[in-house]
Amino acid sequence: MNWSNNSRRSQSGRCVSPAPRCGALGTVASFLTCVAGMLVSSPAHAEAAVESRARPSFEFRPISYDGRVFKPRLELPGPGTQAPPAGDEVRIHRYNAISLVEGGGPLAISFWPPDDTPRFAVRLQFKLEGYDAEWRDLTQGSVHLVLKFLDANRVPVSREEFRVSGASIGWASTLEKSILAHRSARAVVPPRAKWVDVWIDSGGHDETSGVWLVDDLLIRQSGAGGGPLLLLDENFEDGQGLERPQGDPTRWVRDGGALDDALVWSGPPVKGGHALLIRDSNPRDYAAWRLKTRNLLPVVADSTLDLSWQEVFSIGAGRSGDVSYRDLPGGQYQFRVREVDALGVPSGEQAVLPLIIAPPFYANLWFRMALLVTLLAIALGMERVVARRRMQRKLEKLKRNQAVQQERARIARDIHDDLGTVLSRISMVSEAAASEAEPGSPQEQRLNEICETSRQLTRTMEEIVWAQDPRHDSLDNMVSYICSFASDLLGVARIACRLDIPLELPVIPLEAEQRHELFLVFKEALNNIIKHSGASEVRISLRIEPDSIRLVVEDNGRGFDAATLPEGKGNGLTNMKNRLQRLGGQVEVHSEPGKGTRVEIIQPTQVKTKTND
Amino acid sequence: MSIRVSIIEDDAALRKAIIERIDGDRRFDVVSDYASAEAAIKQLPQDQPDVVLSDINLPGMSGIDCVRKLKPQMPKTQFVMLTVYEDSERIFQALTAGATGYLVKRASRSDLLESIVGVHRGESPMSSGIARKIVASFQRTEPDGTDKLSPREKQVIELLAQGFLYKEIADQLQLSIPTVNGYIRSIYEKLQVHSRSQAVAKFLRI
Repeated sequence: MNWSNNSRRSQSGRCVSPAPRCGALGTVASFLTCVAGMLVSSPAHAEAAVESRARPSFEFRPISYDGRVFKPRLELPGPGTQAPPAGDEVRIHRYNAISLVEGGGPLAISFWPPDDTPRFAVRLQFKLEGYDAEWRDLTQGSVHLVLKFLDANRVPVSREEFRVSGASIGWASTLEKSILAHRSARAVVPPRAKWVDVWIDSGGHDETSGVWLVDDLLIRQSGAGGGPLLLLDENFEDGQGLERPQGDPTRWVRDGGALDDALVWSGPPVKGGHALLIRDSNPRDYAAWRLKTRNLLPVVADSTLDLSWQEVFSIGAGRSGDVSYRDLPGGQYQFRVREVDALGVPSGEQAVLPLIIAPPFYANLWFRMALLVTLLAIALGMERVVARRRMQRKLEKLKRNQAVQQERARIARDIHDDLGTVLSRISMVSEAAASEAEPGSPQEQRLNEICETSRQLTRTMEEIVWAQDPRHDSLDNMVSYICSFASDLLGVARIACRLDIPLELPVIPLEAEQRHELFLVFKEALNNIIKHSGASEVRISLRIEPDSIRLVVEDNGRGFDAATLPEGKGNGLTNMKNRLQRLGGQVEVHSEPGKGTRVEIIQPTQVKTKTND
Repeated sequence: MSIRVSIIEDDAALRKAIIERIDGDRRFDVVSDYASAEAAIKQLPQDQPDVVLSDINLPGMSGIDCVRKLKPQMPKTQFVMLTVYEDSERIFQALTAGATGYLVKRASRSDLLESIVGVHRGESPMSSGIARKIVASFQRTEPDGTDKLSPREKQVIELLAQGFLYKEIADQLQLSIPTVNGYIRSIYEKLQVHSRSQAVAKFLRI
């Protein structure tokens, strides 16, 4: 089987119809794939690569993976008008990439000669680039060292086979570069056996292909009970024309359908001598060396045979391959199959099947990003839910506050409307009754007392109601109220009242408590003036400062010296101070004898009260 | 000739007490009394009162709305608002609606009667707090100041806002007290017109 033969068959064989691919683009694409192929090939195979348009002598079977089937498809079909590769050229049959996902169980790849192709490759090697470091042989090919036990009549009793497969430890791509490896084996001579025949045999499997060099074969017998101890000590140096491959060793004879493949080898790795070589390059036949009949070895039943020999081998197969990989990590791979001759020299034909194994979804960047985004979204969602709940609570609190305010307003209105009216009625009726009573009588006095008391009560109630009614929760309202109050009170005392109030007041909310305390302090200041100052004029001014309001009550009265103030009088001032301090405000009293008194009431407007929290 | 007085007050006992207080004096003649604004609106113009005493807090329509409805039909009638306590905001509203004065209910009989006589005579009681609100109201809507008011009226209202009493204003401006009252009355009228035009302007803007 040689190349010219093969290419002729390929040309005359069934052609795959050309794909409807546009010319220029196709050329560019093939150039790119060619370059890519060169880039990914390992240095050892950096030969000039030629994209093959001929049919390969092997093809990929569907790949089963993760319960699914993927069909490799030849990417560059076309009429095979190309010359066979010359020299180091490699003819590459490129297949479409197959995308898989990591973690789908074993990956089984099969390559096969086409069913309708009579030609079989000599020997196929494969390599998963990105995973395998070296080209590997198919393991179904094997050769054997066989011991055939015969009885006294030279009839076979049984056989013992020592299998040789793959590559020997010293194998290094060619026979010459390789190193001989030592091997030993043991067999028990079966009962009735009298003779043993030795075969160096490639006939294990049709598809077997490769080389096997054997030297220094030694067979010892132990436990033979008087039989010979050393049965064979063969270094293959006796014979005719041993310098030629077709030479004849004295004790050995060729066997099998391909006698040409049983050879005598001289040269490396055998140092200064000869060895037997099986070169199986025929996928349908075998070759063997065996002992000549007259040289059969006498054995004793039940004894033990110890064998040892030196060898170099590289055994593969040429017909079909079943390869499987387990637990491949995600990544990009190229599964390559090449044809080599029996000695492992590449013929130049190669098939490439790119495999893209995607990492599992959880290792995927997009998945991770999506996961991150999802987690973020969940976190945000939860944050929003929490925020909404917080807001709802706030809202409920506000509603509660509002309800409290409304209740306050309702109570204030009720007091105002009902109690106020009733008290007004009492004062009016008692006043009317007093006017009807005898002037100067005790009844008139008492009725007047009732009248005056109810009026006072109305006034006090008015102050409380005013403070409680949330409609008055503003600075403007408070100012109007205290101005009217001051005008009335000072008017009765015949003290002139001067007001210096800004026309426009900022919207500053004042809580009922603040309002009430401020008012009480203010009232206290006015009462002090009326009772003690002897002033003829009072000036009331209001200043709006960035973070406070300042209400100033000044009189032109006699003033006082704080140091000489009697105990009792100081209490009013202390009371005033304490009242406001509780709400964060303060009172400053400036006075000098003869220069009047100045009371400053300062109420911070930024202070949050407990209902605002 | 006695002053014809009409009363709008929802509390029957209080209404009765007020009537008794006023009716006992020969200067007054209580011509009618109503328990609600709705009832008063139907009937009051026929009563031709000189002075109407109206509670601000009435069930249903408020005393303020009642004045707003009736004043244009009865320009010569003076409306005095009765209130339990001095709520400057509502009093101000009542004034812009057409009232010319207010009385706290706790006022003594003599204060009540003198107020009615004063209002009838053309006096217009105005507190400093109300005066301040009026000045602010004119300034707020007329950026060029209180141009709708005459210079004298401006002086009067500004002094009032500063706490000066009528007598003090009269002394300071060398006017008689009735003249001061006249200015105040005029300011009241302008305030009503002003607030009405303000409402129209507001309406048009929307």
